[in-house]
Amino acid sequence: MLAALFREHDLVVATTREEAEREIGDAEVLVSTAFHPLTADLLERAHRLRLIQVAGVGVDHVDLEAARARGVTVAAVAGANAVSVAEHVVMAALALLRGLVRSDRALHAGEWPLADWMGGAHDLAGRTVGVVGMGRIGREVAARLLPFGVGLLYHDIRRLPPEEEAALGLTCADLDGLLASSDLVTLHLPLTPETRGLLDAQRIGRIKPGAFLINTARAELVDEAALAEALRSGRLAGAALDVFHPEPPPRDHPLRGLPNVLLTPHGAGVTVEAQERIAQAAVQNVIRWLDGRPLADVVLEGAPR
Amino acid sequence: MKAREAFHLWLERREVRRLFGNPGSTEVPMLVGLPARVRFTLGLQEAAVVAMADGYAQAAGRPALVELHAAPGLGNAIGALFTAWKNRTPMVVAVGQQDSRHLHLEPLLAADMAEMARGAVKGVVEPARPEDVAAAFERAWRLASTPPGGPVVVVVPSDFWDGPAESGMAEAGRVEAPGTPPHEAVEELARRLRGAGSPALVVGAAVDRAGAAGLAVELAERLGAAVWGDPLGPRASFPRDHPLYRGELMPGAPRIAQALLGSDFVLVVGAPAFLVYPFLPGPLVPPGSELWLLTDDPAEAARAVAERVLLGGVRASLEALLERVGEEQRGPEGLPPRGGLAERAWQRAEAARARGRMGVPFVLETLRALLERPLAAGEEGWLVVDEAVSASPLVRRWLATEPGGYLTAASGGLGWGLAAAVGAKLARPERRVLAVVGDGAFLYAPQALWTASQEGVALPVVVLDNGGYAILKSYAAAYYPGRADATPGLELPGLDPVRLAEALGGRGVRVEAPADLAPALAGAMEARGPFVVDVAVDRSVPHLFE
Repeated sequence: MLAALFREHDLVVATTREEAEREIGDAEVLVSTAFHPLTADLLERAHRLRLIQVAGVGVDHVDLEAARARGVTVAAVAGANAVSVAEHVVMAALALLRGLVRSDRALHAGEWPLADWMGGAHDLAGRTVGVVGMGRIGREVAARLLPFGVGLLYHDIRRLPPEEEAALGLTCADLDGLLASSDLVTLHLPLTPETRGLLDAQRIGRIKPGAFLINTARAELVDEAALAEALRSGRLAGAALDVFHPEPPPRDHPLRGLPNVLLTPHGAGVTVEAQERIAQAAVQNVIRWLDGRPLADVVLEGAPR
Repeated sequence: MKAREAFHLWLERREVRRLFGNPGSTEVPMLVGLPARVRFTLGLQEAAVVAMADGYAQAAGRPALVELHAAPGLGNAIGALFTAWKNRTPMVVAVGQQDSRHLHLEPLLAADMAEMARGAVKGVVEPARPEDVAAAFERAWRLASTPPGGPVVVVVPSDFWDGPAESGMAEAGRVEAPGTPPHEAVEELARRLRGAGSPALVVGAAVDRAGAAGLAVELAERLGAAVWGDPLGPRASFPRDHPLYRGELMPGAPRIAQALLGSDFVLVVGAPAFLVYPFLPGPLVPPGSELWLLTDDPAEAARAVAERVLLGGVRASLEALLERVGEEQRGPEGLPPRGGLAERAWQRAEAARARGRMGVPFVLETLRALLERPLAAGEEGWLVVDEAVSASPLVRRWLATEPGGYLTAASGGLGWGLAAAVGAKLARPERRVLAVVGDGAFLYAPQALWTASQEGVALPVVVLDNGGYAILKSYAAAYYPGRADATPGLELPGLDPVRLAEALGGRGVRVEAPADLAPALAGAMEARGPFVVDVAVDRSVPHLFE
């Protein structure tokens, strides 16, 4: 089908590094996913490359400096996974508060964990949720959590206009205040030099005792060792983690094997529906490029066409 | 000199600047030639007269003077006097009696006024001769203003005013309020508080009346004590966003014990221990805790469920207690933050959820945003006078955040709030005053709007209009599940508060769409006279008794 769409062009699919190395020299447009890093030495071979269209939200896997040096335009797909990530956060919040995973494991292992359940299953209503990062995903998360009867704190470098805050039922807070006052903290911000290690050991120590953490953004936002320690000690009641450093995490990764941690394989934003939306958007952008129209979600503006 | 002139002189000495009243034939002899410096403030019904005087006295921090017309006027005012007494509002209330020369015939308007008033007021003074009239007012003034404050009725036969005055005038004497309780009792209390594993404070209205909220905060912080508001507290006596503040106690025995469970030592300051409302069986104090009371009210002392009561001035006693407790700080560090951010976050989220159905949280959040403006500009905050009844717990949660900024009636009656707000504004014209009332409350004494309009009182009045007595619907639903609809008299159809306001010289607007609310409220706050915003709020019945 794609071939039909791009009838006047050659369409080559590379699934391994070797294939990519072989084919990249001819490519003018490269559609890329996070599974295969676009490193400087790979881009070195891309003599004709003008556009990298990432089929995803994040461009961490692209060496942007190398792209810039070669005058390559880099575009991503923004927002296509926002709904999926937001639903994932709702699921994770409910699962953590109910002790769902622990109970499921126990039942599969032949137990009847009702007493445990009754001692540890909680409602979401009445809790305070802290959303760190109020971008597209943060907003979708807030909008979905509001009807659950929660209070919503948020932190962002840019404050929303008051009318928008009021409509979404949001209260702006500084990060430390948010961490100290929230029963559940969820991260929705990009990885930048400023946000790397945002939740270091000190900040994790400021989170309200007994609170939960949800990270569907980037593992490097959090000091994983300090997080594991806080989860082991019971200082944090639990966590739902969709992202790891590195990915996949090694078998002895400190966040594997903890009973109060819900793990998913960096898949919050890649439901079947989200994949379809991402593919659609990436193809749309490539078509815009081929038609000479302006692109959506440009991350890096390359040399003029 | 005539008794009337002696009374007028006494008014001067007491620096009385306003007399709230509604005259009749029996009071004309008292009022004729009233000095120009005493402004007569007319109310069109005695309930409104007394409630205005109540708000005036509370805002001014000194007694108000009231005139009522004989038995019918006193009768109209009884409910408001009862409220003023429960509010501990100092008030001197002159009630005209028929001419003493024909009282034996039981003439028109005559009755045993002392008997009528007694159950609803702090005291009654009946001068026996014209010579004693001014002295009777002085006595009433002192009685009214000695803690606990309250209304004191002076019954004066109409012929006394033209009788002779005693040459020795009634002086405007001073009564010094009671000071600190005995040192060893304060010492012992401090020791108990310091020794307690998890002490709790219940902070009541007398703390705010004494302007001593700052001392209560200081005490709580040094002790790291959990702080509760008194049940149905008529004032804001502790900052609600303080991390040590836990909420207000519910007015039911087991609910109070439940809240205090886990506190091994409880000190109630400046409140009854405890005010309860619906009967619920069970203990007031949880097993294993000890409860002490610090109060300026001997009657409260007598009926408190306290192991020990310290009787003394609230401010002086707190100062002495702080001295004994020492400087060492146990809180709020180390305590999980409550209230504050999480509470605001919940309120704002709840307001967003309530927007579509014009729920009370949305109205209050919209109001709050407007009320915060002077605070942000470093000016004195609004005084919120609340008689929204079924919504009052929410009004307190959203708007009664700062001590000195909130008043409601301590009696459970209706018809006080609107008039009290008018009186408060008359006492403190420079202060921003707002009334938040239910439609039921609004209709009990709307005549105060006329006084407000005549006196040029700028007063926004927010009517949370749910078309009925929601508090009673809630009560009926909780006590007789499934039969709430079988209770008659709870609906209020066919009323138009805006047109009523206009008829009384005010202005108003009805708000039905959420988007219209903020502009309407802002407009009311800019108005020069009374301005009613009649908000068609969600009519679903709140769960207040479950």
